[in-house]
Amino acid sequence: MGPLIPQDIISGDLNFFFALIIGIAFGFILEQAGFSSSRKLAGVFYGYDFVVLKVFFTAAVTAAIGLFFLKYLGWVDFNFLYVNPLYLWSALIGGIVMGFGFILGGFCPGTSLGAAVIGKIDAWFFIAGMFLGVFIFGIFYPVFEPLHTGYFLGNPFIYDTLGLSQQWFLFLLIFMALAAFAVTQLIEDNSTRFKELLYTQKLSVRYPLLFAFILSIIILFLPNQRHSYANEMSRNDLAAAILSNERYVPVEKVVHSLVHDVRDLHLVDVRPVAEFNTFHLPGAVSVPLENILEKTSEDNLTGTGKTTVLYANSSDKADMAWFFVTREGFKNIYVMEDGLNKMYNFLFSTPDTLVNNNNNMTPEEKFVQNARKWFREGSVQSAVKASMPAPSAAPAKAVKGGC
Amino acid sequence: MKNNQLFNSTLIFFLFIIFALLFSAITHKVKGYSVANKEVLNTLQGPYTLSYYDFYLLYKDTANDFTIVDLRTPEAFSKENLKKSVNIPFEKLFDKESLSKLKDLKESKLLVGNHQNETSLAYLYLTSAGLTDIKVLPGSFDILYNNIVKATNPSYFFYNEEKAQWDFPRQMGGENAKSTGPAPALPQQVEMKTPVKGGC
Repeated sequence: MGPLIPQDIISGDLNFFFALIIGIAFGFILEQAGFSSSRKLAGVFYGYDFVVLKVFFTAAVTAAIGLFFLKYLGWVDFNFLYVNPLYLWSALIGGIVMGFGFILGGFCPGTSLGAAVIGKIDAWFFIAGMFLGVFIFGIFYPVFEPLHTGYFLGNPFIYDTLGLSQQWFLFLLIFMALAAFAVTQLIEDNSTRFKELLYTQKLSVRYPLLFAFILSIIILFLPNQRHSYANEMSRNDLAAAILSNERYVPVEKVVHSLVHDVRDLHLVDVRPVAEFNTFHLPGAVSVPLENILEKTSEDNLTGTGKTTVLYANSSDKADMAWFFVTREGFKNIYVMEDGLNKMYNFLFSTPDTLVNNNNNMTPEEKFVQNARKWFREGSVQSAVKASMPAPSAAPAKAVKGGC
Repeated sequence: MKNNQLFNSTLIFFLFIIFALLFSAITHKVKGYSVANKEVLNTLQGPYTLSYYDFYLLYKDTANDFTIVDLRTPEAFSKENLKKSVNIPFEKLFDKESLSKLKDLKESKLLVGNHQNETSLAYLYLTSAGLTDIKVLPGSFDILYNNIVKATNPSYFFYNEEKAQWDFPRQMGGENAKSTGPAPALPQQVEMKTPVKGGC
């Protein structure tokens, strides 16, 4: 269900429920479009009826325009979209096999089910053939495997490959669709077979075409995409926050909180996971800088009821992490000033004092000595070795699609 | 009437988009960024810093195209500065004039300042505001000036404040540290499902 399940707006448990509803709707629309007739479907290959091309092209263009604007308005996160990976050989050979099957059988898999439901016998045979094919493919999969997984190209986008902007690509796609509609209309008008069949009433397309044209022009001349979302801090506020230096928590406070077990600070380690595993402050959680904006990091940044303090080896990385989360709209995130390097300096730069001299120590010295003892006591091993699963950059849940 | 069906559905689709655009245009508060937060974060994947070694090679030859943006105070700048550098104090960096001044610079910009974290924040801010071709010189002006420009000390060629300067676990990983505080929360594991491919 689009962006709703990956973003936990709807529970993923309802996935199959929505799949059922959408599937029924899809089948109904296919049937209504006349796609349960193999003559109509095969017509696109014999050149007398192009309704298949029109329906699927319309669907693609409608979805493309809708998604484009939803993304533009910041309502849909493109990272959640599932993009079918491109295996070149399976795409080419599968496409050819599918095309021949389409011409010979007069159905494509989805429409065959639609036709079977309304009782067409040829569709039942088609489905039987489909299952036979799936069965053969499954049994002999080792033979097909190099073909099936060969020449993997990742998830390329056409507009990236062509070096076009998304806007221009969409514009060209709309125009290609409109041109295809016009050409096929001409062919249909001249086809005697089409007139014999008379499946379709001729529709007036003047206004829909006008709308499509206006939309394509809007797409082309949209101002720069708005990247800001509701909670995002404005640039001027962010500049003021950078200059105010209110975000810094001195190392002494963190040490005090740890040694005296105050538990008022929620420590977040923004260094890479490897460094976190070697050493981290007691009770700290790991959110590497490159994952700081991911949805899964959100719980580790807020909602603990404590003051969140970011730290790294110096202020540098922690400040950068602070920049991103503050701009994103998180409030009350702090930075441990000058990081672990400073903390180490603070704790271990003075010589150890003998216990006998305890009385001559200033309170500051005493504090440092206590903290030093607290940190050092026990084994030399790092505090807690956490086996960190490497956070994957893959989107949380991919949205699966298909027509 | 079938005519009306086609007309109505396209009209609804069309009007929905127009209204959504208008709605967002009216209710939208301008935040003033030209690059998304995530994209700024992604720029950190590339080499956004210039190591002192690369700087050393670049700085030797005046024919190279670069401008050093010095973020220190004007007083410090007037005392000692690098060639081909402009002074934009960190406090004034966020003004409109500074931004337009930086936007006019055609050469690649190298940021250097009082502290590395300041320089990095300046980089992030300027990248968010739409500037490109910026690099951060790690450390501070003093370290750069004393160890690379005035006298070249190769041990500073790959200096970075963010490096761990000490062996932390040796002194700080004691038993006490182990016993306090909750166990570190593990980041949520990302669920990897075998993608199901659909088709018609």
